[in-house]
Amino acid sequence: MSGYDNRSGSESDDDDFNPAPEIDDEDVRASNAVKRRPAVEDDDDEGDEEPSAPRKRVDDDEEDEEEDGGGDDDEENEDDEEEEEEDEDEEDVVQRPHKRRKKARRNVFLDVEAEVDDEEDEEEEGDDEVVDEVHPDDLLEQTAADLDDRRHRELDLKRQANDQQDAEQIAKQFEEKFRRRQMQAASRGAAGAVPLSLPTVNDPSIWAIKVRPGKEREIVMALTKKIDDYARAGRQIGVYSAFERGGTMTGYMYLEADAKQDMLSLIDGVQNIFMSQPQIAIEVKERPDLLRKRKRTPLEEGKFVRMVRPPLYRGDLAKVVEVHSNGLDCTVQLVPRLDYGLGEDANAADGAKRKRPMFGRTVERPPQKLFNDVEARKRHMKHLSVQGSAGSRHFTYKGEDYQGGFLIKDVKVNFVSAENVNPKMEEMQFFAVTGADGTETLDLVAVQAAQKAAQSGSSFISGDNVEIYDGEQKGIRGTTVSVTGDIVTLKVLEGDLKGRSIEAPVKTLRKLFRDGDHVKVIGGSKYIDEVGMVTKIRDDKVTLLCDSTQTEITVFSKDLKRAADSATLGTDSNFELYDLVQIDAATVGCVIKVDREILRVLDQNANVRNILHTQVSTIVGRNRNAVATDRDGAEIRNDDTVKEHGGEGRQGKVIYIHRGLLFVQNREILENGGLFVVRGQNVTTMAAKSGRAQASGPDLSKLNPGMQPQGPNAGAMPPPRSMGRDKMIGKTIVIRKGPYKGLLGIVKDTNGSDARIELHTKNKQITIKRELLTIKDPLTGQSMDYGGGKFPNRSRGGGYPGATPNHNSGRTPGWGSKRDGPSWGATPSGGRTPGWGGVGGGRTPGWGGGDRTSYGGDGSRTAYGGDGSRTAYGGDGARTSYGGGTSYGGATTSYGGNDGARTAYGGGFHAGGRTPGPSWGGNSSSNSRTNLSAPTPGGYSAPTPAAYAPTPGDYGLTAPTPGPVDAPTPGNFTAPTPGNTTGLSKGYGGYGAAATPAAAPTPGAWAAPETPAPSGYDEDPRYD
Amino acid sequence: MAYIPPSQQRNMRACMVCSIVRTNAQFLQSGCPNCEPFLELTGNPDAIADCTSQVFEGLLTVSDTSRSWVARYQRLEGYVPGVYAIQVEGVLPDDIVVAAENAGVHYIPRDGSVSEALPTDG
Repeated sequence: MSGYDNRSGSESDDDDFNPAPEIDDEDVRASNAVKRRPAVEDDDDEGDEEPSAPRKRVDDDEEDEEEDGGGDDDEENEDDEEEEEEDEDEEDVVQRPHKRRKKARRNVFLDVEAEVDDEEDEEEEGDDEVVDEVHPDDLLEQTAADLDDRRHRELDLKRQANDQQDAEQIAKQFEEKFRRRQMQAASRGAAGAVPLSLPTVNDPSIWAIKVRPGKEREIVMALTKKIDDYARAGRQIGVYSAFERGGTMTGYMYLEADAKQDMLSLIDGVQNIFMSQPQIAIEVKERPDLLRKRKRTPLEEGKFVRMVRPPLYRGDLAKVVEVHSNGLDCTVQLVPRLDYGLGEDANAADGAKRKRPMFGRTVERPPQKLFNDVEARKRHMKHLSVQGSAGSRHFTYKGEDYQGGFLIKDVKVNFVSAENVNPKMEEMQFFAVTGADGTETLDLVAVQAAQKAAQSGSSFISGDNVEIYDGEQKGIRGTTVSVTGDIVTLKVLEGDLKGRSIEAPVKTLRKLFRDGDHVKVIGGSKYIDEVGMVTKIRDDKVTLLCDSTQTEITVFSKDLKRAADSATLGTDSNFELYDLVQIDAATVGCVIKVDREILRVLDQNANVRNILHTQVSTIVGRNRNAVATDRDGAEIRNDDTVKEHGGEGRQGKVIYIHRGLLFVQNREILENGGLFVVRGQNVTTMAAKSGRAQASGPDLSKLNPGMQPQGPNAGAMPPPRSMGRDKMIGKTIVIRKGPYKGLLGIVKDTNGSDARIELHTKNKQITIKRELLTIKDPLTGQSMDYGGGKFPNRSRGGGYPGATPNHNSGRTPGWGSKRDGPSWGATPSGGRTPGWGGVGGGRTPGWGGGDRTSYGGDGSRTAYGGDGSRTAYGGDGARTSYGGGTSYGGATTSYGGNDGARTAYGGGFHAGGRTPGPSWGGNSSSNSRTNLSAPTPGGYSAPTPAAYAPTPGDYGLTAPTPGPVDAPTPGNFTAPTPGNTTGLSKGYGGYGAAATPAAAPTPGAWAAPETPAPSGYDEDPRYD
Repeated sequence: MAYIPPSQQRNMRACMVCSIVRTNAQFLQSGCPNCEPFLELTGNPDAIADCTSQVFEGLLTVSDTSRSWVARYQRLEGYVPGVYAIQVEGVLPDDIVVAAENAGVHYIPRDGSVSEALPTDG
């Protein structure tokens, strides 16, 4: 029968989970009717697919039976013939209305409904044949799943045709179906999946009650007892079960009962149940979740886990050595935390007390450290026993086994957790496997396994090219659109599903790379930041050839991203290649490789060690003064080239000297980054860096006391070194030699023997040797010595131009500031200072009174301006202060008066008293006068002395000494005003102008030497 | 009988086949009330070690295994009332599994390794 052929073909298709579209095409071709009806969506098919396969088989049987039966009876035979005819007719029909059949299929067990449906179908089919033209999309969506419907459909039709079929046959059919269901159940059972009865509304309800956390099990037991009691007493219980879910739902219990009252009466009076809290009824839908079992991450040997218990090791990393066959116990290897009895209190009364850990207090645990039998012997010899021989000794200490320093412990599987292990590098250090060649390597496979558990969708970002490498949709490639938790939505790029968006769990996805891609490790392993070329891809593991180390590493593709840049390893490290680091108190080493977390270090004993960054206490750095001696007794310093004597005869440049050990670098040596360690005694110096005399022997003259200079003053005192700012800066100079010969300029800056000159002639700065300069007095144009107090020049620079008023204003402040500020302050003018002090004291009030603020900063200024002279003066005279301010003018004129009259003055002097005092006296008067009469000297000299005390004017200025101020002012004013203005304003100006000649001398005067007091004064930098 | 005082609760073990919870001593004394015919735990510490597990989660007391949906869902129908575990870790030795099958008991691990729920249609 063609129908059968067709069927068998389609049946095989049915077995295929993903229906192949081709079949559909055939069908479409075979009957146009198919086109008429839109097919049901695929989704429906998938849900029902599985059950449908067995069903079909049974259907076939049924048909066979029917046909057989038909052979027995003639009537039936006729019927059968009819049937067959109909069948044949229907065969066409059958193939047409797929959609309707789908509907029927769902209700295949409900015969009545199916029949009705079919009848309608029949009728409709005739009518609708043309009408129902269908969208072409529907054709596409048709799947072979539709075909299997055909059989049911056929059956139904057949049944319909045999409407008169006797009850016997119907019964047979039912039986058939029932049998089929049993078969299904059986096959499921064999596969391990037994259909569980889902709760219905007819089942008892379940309530959640609140209980004291941690007491759940006790409560279950208490309820058990109560139920027992009830049962024994013959009472109706009404509660069918009670359960708790320990760790997942702490603080809750669930009771299954018909009525709430039953439940309440049972739990009433049971301890630790919070009756006051409302009981929550659990919805039918949610009930299976209450009993959901959590799948434990399977433990495997070599895998890393975290300890949950005992508390001593909680959270510690452990490695599974063995999983026992019953799946309940495993043997783990962990780093012991032992104190070897050091923490024991010898006086503790009894051990029982200690057994119970102090509640709520965290007991400090000893640090993780590999087992040390020497330590154990010290105090706990009695607890220690040794088995095995030297090679593989293992210890039993206090009832626990230690092997290779590790604690080997049998624990229950629920005492360890294989989830979220995320081992850190520090922890992994202990578990490094020491290879035959002595190198330590980590068991990376295990690390990766441990880290894989932490996989989540976060490593995928929108736009990644991914491939599904596992599961039904294996091979599908696409671009990620979004990531939600562990589910990634991707848009398929190729294949049948092209353009569709599908979702896939993260664990079946890998990022899509191709051989030869240049990729960068972005996380998940110790290779982070490595860059390399993909050489092999297996599942989600990608092997790449590192650019930096030329080694192949294997990482998960989720940890990779395509990268164009090259490796920049360890950029975030605090350490650099060839740093000298302190490893422990007695050991230093030189860094020969910087990894992300590990430093490879060549220590002072020429051992190469891998240490963690955190294990380095400090970077020692280079000691500039470190010296070693070579075998000839010549000194070796950093950067010298040395050659090993004997041995391999290596040579290289000394980069570090550490206690007679040399870290020598030779770029031609490959191992250890070209670094090696030798003793100073084992090398000869090839070349000293700075061409020091080599091997000249010790300088004996230093040892000979006779050669040593005698006495503390033996050597000539070095010339006093001038500190601070170069005095030359700001000086006016003339250039004596060279292309700029004869040009005038100002020194802007000096640097060693060079000076930077700003030429007056053109706006240009040149650098020229200092010795080619002659310092000129800007006022007089005379050459000056450049030792002493040229400072005035500076200030005068401004003053120079000499408009009186300008002068005043301009200069004075200059002075003032100069004096006050640096000079005074700085001035050691020790001698003076006190004077100052006194003066100051005197002055201040004066000042204040003087009111001449002028004086202070501006003192000079204001004073000078209209003010100073005018009012101030007048009044001033009276006022001490003023005098000071005025000192200038004052200096000149007022002096006489000043001196005499002014107590202040006197005081001032006195104070200054010492040296200057006298000078003052003389000076002042003379000076002032001189000033007056001959401004010049005054100008200059005044300043000079003033500088020191001497010049009254100066003083006044600088020192605002009250004395001077006082005194002078009045006099000053009165008299000087006119002159003053000039004179005063000049103070300097006047000086400048008039005094110029004098000025010239002044310098001399200035120069400390002049002054008698000078010696003391000299030192004063005050001018500088 | 089924009640286990708190002091004994640290010795509780669960039968890997039927998940009933009893103390070690109880198993030793009277075996597993549901599985005794083929597990033969009475007086047999080795068998107890193999067939029962200290690692279990979720304690469940059932008073009527036929009416309770929970019992049905836990496949406890027909078992004696008492205390059961919801999830039992551990792997039953192969020969025991064979013995159970021969005794007509289909052994399904109770450790959550087998997904039991039917694909639900809603």
